[in-house]
Amino acid sequence: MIKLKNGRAKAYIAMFLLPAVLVYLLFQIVPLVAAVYFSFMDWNGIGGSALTFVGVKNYINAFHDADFLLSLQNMLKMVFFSVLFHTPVALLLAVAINTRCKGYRAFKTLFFVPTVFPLTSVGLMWYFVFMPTGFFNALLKNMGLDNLAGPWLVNQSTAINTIIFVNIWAGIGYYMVILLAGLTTIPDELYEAASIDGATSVSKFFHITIPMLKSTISMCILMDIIGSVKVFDLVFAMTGGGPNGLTNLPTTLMYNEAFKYSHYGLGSAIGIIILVICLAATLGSNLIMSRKGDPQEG
Amino acid sequence: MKMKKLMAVLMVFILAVTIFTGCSSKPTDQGSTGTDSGTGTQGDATSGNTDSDSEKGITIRLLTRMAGTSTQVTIYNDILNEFKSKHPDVTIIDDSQGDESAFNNILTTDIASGNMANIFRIQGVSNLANYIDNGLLLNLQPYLDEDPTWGGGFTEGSLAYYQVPGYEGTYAIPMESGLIGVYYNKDLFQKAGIASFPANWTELLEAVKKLQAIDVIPIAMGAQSTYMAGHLHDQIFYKWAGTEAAKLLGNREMKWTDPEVVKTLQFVKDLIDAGAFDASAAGITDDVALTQFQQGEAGMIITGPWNISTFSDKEATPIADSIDVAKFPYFTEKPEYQNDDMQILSPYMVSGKLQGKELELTLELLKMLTNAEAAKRFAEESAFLIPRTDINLDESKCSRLFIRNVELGGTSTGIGVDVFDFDPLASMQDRTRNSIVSMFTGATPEAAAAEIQAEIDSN
Repeated sequence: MIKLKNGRAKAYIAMFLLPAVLVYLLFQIVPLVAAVYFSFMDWNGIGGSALTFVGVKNYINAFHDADFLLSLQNMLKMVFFSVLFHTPVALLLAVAINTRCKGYRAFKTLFFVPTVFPLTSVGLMWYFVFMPTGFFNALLKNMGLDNLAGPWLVNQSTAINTIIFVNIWAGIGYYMVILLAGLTTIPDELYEAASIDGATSVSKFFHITIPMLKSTISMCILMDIIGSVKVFDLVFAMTGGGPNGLTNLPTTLMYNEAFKYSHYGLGSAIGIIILVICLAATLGSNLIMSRKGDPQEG
Repeated sequence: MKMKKLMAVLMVFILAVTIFTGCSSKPTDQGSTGTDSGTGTQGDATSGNTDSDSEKGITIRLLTRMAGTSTQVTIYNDILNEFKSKHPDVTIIDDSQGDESAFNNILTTDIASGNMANIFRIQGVSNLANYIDNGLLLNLQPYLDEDPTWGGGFTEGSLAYYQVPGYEGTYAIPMESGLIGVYYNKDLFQKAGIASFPANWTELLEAVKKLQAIDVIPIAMGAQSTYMAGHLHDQIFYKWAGTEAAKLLGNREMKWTDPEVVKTLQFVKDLIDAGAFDASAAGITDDVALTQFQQGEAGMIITGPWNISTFSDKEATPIADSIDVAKFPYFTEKPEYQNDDMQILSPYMVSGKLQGKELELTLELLKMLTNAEAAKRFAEESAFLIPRTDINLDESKCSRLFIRNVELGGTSTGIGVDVFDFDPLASMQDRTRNSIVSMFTGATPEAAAAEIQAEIDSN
C-alpha cells in the first residue's frame, strides 16, 4: 500500500474516478437532463427545426391517452405477477437446491440458463412457441385439445398474460441465484439449534430462513419491480406492442412515440414518468425496509 | 516510484481519450455527409472525370431498403461495386435495411440529427415540405434537366409524385414502381370451380366461399405484419373512394369517420366475417402468409412486384406455374374507380447538405442506380421496375408475372400508394394499420374509424 499525503491521495482518487464519472455524466445524467428538457417541449423531430415550450402539456396528454393508460395497466399487471411469482418460486428453488440434493448443480444450471439468454432471443423463442402455427398449439391439437388452441399473442384475454408468463419464466433463475447466495450466509448453527429444539423443516423455513433472508428478499422484490417496469425487449420481440397496442408497456409506447411518430416531447414525458415510477418504487421499498429493520444487522 | 505514478497518469489519460473517441459523432474513416470542406464549391453534375486526390476522404452513405439476398439487392450491390471500382478512394457506407422497423429507426435518427445519408428514401410525401424547409432534401430538377438521357427517361407521373405544392422542383428520383395486385393460384381456382378471377366485389365474395368449400384459405393474410392488412384496405379504399380521396384525408377535407370511409373499413370486416382469411390471421406474419400461398394452401395473396421473382422461382414456389396476377376487384357501384389502383412508388432522395465533389459523386452513383441500363437489368433479372419509359426490355428474359404486372399497371388511371402517404402525421402509418388489424380481433369498423380519427384530432 502506497502511503500518500492527504491532498495527493484525493487527487489520485479523483483522477481514477474521473473516467467513471465522465461515463456516468455522459450516458446517464446528460440524457436524463435532455429527456426532462424535451418533455416540456414540442418538437417535430426534424434536425434544425424549432422547439416550442409547452409546459406540462405532454404529461397531460400522456394521462389522457388511452394507449398510455392501457400500457400503465399492463405494466401494473406485469409488476404484480412478477413480484407474486419471481421471488417466492425462486426462493423455493433456492432452498431446494441448497439442500444439495442429488444433481443440484445440474438443476441450478438449468434454472439459471434462461437468465443467460438475451431477452430478445427469449422473446423470439417463445413467439415461435405461442404463434398460431407454433409448438404450443400443435401440442394442444395433438393432445386432442383443439378447442384450447388459439392465437395466444393476439387474443385480448391472453396476449399480455402470455408475455407476463414469459417474463416470469425468464427471470426466476436470476432471483434464485441471488437468494441462493443469501442462503449461504445463514449460519448452520441456527438450523442445528432449531433441530435440537425440535423444529420442523417448515418452521425452520419460516422462522430462520425467511427472517434471515429478509434484506435479500426485499432487494429481489425491489429489483423485480424496477425490472418489470423497464421491460421492453420481450414485448418488442414477441408482439411489438400489438395487436393494436394491446400489449404495449410504457417503455414500448415511449419508443413508438419518440422514434416512430416523432413525438419527442410525449415520448420524453413517458420516459420521465417511468423514471418517477422506478424512483417511487425504490424509495417506497427503502422506507418499508428501514421501518421494519433488518434481522441480519441484529 | 515516479515511473509508477507516470504510468498511472498515462493510463487515466488513455482511458479518457478512449472514452472521448468512442463518444465522437463519427469515426474519422466515415467522413462527413455534410459539406465538403475540401472544395466548398458547387459540384458539376456533368463532370465524369475521376480525380483521385479530390475524392480522398469522401464518404457516400446510403440508407435504402435494398438489403437481403434477393436478386434486386444483388444487382444493387453490383452497381455499388462498379462505382467503387471507378472511384477506389471513395468510401461507401451502405446502411440499407430490409426490415422496415430497423430502417425507420436509422432514418428517424438521421432526420432528428439533420445528418442525412447521401442517398436515402422517405416513404410518403406529406412531410416533404418540412424536410425541404430544413434543408434535408436536394432539389433534383436541375440535375434531371442537365442530363436528359438520364432525367428524361422517367415517367412523368412518377416524377410528379415528388413535386411538392408550393415548392419548385423535384425532390426524389423514383426507383421502384409496379402494381400491388392480387396474385392467385389458377389451379386452386379451377379446383374450386371458379372460371376466371373475380372482376368485382360480389364475385370476390363468391370466390371466397368456393375456395373455403375446398378447404383452402381464400386470401393469405399475415396481419401481424400490419402492412398486409393496411394494403388490403388501401385496395378497397381506392376502388370505393378513388385515389384522390387519400389526399382529401391528408388535407383534412375528409374524415376517417365519414360514412364513405367507414364503408371501406366495413368491406374489410365483411371479408373477415366471410372467412376470407385464416382464423389466426392477426397472429400470423407476412412470411407465414407468403408461405401459405407459395405452398398452395391459400388461393390468393395481395402483394407487390417485389415478390414476383420469388413467385417465379420454382424452387421457392412449387406452384410457380399456376400463379397469375390481377387487379383487385372493383365495386359495380363505383365503376369510375375501376382502374384506380394501388401501386408501389419508392424514391431515392439526396441530402440537401451536399456540396462540391461529394455531391457530384453522389449524383453519379444515383444515376448509375436509376439509369436505363440499370432499369433494364433490374427488370429482366429481378422483376423490379424502375418507372422509366426508355427501358429496352427483352421480354424473353422477363418473367411472365412481371410482364403481366407491367401491362396491368399501365392501365391504371389513378395511382395511389398507401392511403396515409398524404397524411402529415407520422403516426398515421401505425395508427391506420393497427386499427385495421383490430378488426381482425373483433373491433367494429366504426370503432376502428373512430380510433384513427381520434389520433388526428388529438394532434
